[in-house]
Amino acid sequence: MMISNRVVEEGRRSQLRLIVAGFVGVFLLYSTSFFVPMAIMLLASTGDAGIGVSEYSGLEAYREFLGSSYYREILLDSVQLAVVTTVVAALVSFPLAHLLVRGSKLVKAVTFVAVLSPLFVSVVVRAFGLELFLRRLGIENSGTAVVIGLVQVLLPFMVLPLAASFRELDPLLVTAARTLGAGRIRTAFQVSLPALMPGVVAGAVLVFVLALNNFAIPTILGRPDDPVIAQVIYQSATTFADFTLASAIAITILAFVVVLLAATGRLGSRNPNLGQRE
Amino acid sequence: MRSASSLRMASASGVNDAEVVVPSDRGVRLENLHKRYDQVHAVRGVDITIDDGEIFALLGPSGSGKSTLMSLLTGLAQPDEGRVYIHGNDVTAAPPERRNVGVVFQSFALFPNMKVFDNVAFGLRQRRTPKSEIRDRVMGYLEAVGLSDKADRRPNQLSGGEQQRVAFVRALAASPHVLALDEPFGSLDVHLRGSLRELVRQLVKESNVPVLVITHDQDDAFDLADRVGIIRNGRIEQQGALSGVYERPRNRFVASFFGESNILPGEVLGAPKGREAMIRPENLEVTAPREGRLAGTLRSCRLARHVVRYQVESGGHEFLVIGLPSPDNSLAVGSEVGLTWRSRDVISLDPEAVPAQP
Repeated sequence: MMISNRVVEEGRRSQLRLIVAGFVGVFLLYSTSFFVPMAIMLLASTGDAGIGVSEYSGLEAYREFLGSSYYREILLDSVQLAVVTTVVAALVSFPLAHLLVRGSKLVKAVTFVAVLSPLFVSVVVRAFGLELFLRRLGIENSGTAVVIGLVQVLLPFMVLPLAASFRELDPLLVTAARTLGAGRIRTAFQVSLPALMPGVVAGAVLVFVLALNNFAIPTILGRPDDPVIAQVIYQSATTFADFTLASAIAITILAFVVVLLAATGRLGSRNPNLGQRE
Repeated sequence: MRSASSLRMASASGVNDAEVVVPSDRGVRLENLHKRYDQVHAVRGVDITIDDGEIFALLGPSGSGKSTLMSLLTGLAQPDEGRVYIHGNDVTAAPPERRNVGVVFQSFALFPNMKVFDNVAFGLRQRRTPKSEIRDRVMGYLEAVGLSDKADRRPNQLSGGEQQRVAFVRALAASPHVLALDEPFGSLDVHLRGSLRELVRQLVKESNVPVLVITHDQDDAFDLADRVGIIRNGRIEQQGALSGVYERPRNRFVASFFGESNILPGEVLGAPKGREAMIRPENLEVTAPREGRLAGTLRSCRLARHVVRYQVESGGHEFLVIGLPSPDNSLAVGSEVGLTWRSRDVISLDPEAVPAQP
């Protein structure tokens, strides 16, 4: 009895040690790669980090970014770009997710490869390839080109959550709606779409955030005189060495994204469509 | 549309016990339906007519073509041959939303994003019924199944039996021309099934629609149906009034799939030699050793709720006998007994047709 107790105690203690070690490891990893840089950036945004040259101090950089119509326009343009990208990606994803779940074995395999394979190619390589193609169509260096590029790069983040929702959708719901007199279109809007909403929302949040922060695609495919917010941050930091403004913008965008995530999270908990189903 | 006021229905193979006469503008009629999927001939020449207010149970093992037949009725699939008439109208090519066939699915298939009320109102809303009428009808039906206080719940907040009732009134509320129940009690506890069958039968009879019940559970047929069809390999082996099919099964398959039976060489039961004959266990009687038509040994004797089940061995054959319990039939296992029956309860069975390859 004593012995077995001691053995159990010993086992528990070594398990505990392992868990503590894991926590410490994860904490170190995050703190060095995320929290510390974030803290430095927060400091830099008020000009207190002593990096670069800036005419701003205190909250002036925030005031400049949020107050000037120049930056506000760029921000609105960037948000608009992200919204358009999200909507287009969602529309393209519906048929793809459907094929991925309901297609024959061959169709599933082909769709899967088609959706995921871009992830294995560098964004820069893909963007340049797309640039060459769009040049032939005569729409290189335009807003349209950037949307096409972003949709192409971010598609997997929309298709995969949507496919998960498709997989959960009971095909009998569609049958039930049709036998109750609803045509295909009404069934799609009243029955299928609400049931797919969790996937749509998850995918949309991912695509929106990633599109808003994307740097490579607008740089390679967009117009140089029409920068997005990520390019403005990059320019401020590298061309003008104004780390204060760059940090302030980055922090503001981050705060915006956090608020957005919290809002969709709340939406999810309030609306049973978006929540967990039994 | 047929202009004749009535039409005599009898299948070409002559397996209908009762010829059904249904005026052609009533009920539902499946006429010589055939359906092939790739290599499988799932439904082969099925004829079924169900009158308004009549409940027809299609009973068969899984893979017998029941589900395919359901798809042909609801319009989810089109037959390769044959026609579907609802109220005399040929709907063979019509999509599901134009047929007005109410369906209750085994999994219920309630819309998870809608409240109970909106589930039941769904069909009425598709045809732009006035709001006040929708409210009255939906609440009336929920009242009838004792769920009016759950109108604002979501389906996942209901028990299985409650979900089944919602699924049922959802199908009924839209005033369907036909009601199709697909294994309607299959996912419920056994003790729930009895009371729900009672409720379903009562509501269906009030609404006066033809009802097709697809099931592999013979209790569904016994408790619900007016008429029954036994299906195997896409073919109706026999159909007719419940009692007719039960009392005079055509062949071994029907006799053993629908109800319990003793199937023996004909001569053992005093029927013609060379064919099998059957007798229902409740038509056999255990007697004193020398009083029966056969002498045998009691192998087991077991009280099963309100009946007693005897296993009797005689001349190398096993007999199942079902009788009523009484104080003086406390027989010891292993004792000598006799077996007797009335000759008219012995049914000579058709030789089993070898099932054709699909």
